[in-house]
Amino acid sequence: MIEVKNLSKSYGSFRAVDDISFTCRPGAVTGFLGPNGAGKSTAMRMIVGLTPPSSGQATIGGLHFAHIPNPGRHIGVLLDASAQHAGRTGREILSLGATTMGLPKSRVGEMLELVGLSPREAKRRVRHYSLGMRQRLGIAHALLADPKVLVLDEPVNGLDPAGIHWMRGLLRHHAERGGTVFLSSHLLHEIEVIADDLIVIGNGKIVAQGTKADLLKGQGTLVRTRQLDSLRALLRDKSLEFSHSGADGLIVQASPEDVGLIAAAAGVPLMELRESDGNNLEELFLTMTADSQRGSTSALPDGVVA
Amino acid sequence: MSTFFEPTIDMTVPRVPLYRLIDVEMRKLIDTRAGLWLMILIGSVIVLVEALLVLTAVAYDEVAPWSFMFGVMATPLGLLLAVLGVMTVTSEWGQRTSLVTFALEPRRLRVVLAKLLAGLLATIVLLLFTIVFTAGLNVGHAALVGQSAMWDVTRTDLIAFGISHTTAFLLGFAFGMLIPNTPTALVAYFVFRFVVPNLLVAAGLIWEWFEPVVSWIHLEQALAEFFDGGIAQQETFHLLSALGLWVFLPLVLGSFLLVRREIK
Repeated sequence: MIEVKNLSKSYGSFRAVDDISFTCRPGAVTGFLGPNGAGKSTAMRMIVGLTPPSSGQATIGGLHFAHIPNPGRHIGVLLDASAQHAGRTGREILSLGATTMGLPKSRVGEMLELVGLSPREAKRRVRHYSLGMRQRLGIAHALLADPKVLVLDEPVNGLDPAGIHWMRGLLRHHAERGGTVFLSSHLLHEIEVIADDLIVIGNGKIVAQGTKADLLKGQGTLVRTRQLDSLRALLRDKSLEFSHSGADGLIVQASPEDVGLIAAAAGVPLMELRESDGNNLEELFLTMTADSQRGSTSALPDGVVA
Repeated sequence: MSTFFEPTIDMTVPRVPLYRLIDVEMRKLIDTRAGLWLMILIGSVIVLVEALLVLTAVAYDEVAPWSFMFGVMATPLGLLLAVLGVMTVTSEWGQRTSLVTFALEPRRLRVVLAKLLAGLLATIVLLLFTIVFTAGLNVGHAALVGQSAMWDVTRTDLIAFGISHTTAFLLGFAFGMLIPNTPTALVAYFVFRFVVPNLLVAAGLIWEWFEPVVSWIHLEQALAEFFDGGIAQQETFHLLSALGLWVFLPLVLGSFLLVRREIK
């Protein structure tokens, strides 16, 4: 539903978004993951036509955002929950949106109720809202027209665990109805809970993409034994690759079943046998986050590549 | 809420009609404290200044001519309408609400047009209010003094009043379009209003060749001469030229930049 092709944005010699391509399919929640400053927001602004791309293109349902008549009816957008006039009340902000899109006034009350803002809170000026309340208001605004596509930049930011759980249910329900959800986050664990598909971006480039199941899959089998030398010899015989983990453990590039069979056939007793915890995505993401925290722009490690 | 979504965009949904955009922009003029207070301020200035003028006249047992009531309003109302013009545009950028506005209507110039028309409507309402209010005062205070009211304002005067104040709003709007920051745009406008005219006259005195140019670019002078000169052809061209330079040019340039600008 959302299709991004070779999209780039440069500011002078700095490439904020560097030749990214991906699609967000209907019926799924696509998570856009990357550290702060990776280019997520710039990419999202290009998708909804607020930032002109330097090259490449982004379409929704095959159309450029600017060519869609009354786009708010089809695409709910939340780019920054704080980008609202602090002097307006929550209800007024939704009313302005409903008027622009030509929706009945009753939608305003319905959406306030859906996101859990009380009538009293809705009468208060946004200046007095917490970040969590602003996020809820922003979600209400994005959902006003019951659009089939949602583009949400860091919507979970500022929500408490109950709020994250609520958001997950909301977006899941939307995807189950055949809707397309594209949301960004800089926290792996946040997005892990919500998304079906993941696109990981760092320094403007996509470094990994695929289904969450694929990306979060363990990268081998952890096996522990007191007879480490025997096991190593057996693995070498089968030319399986492995690395060491602790004093008596190995991480083997094979399924737990295969490793178990090999050990059993040779009578090597095992103390532990399971899929390893570590996965490429988490490792990759930690490295990226560490990089951006140091403010370094060094190249990413040769981990998972899209 | 539980219908299944088709994975295509329904192109039969009509685009947002202009009247709805105008409706929204008119609401935005008064739905914040800043906007509401600006309107209240303009209304209060009209009421207080006129009341003061009339009370003074009554105290001296005289009748203030209706034309005085327009004359005394010229500077304060002009300034306030220019501020209204600036803020009609710039309030959209200051709080980054443009992220939302242009995600709902990506054709940015339609939003600009809606703002322009909403502001113009507000200006017309304020001008009509001034006319009706001063007419009422004129009748009332003349009766109080026991003399007949002086209806010395001609139709041309009323047109001049309308055009010059509408121009003030348009000037503010154009400056706001070109300079997307409220304080900077306001300062630029005040410089234009109070410094530029004197500079132009001074330049005309220093360089003889520049003197004839001044009448083509000095907006206030052009406005004054346009109405004094009985709306003659030469004065009309002077006014159009000055309006082109100070209203049309910044408006077009600002629109050009807005369409290309990244909305953040």
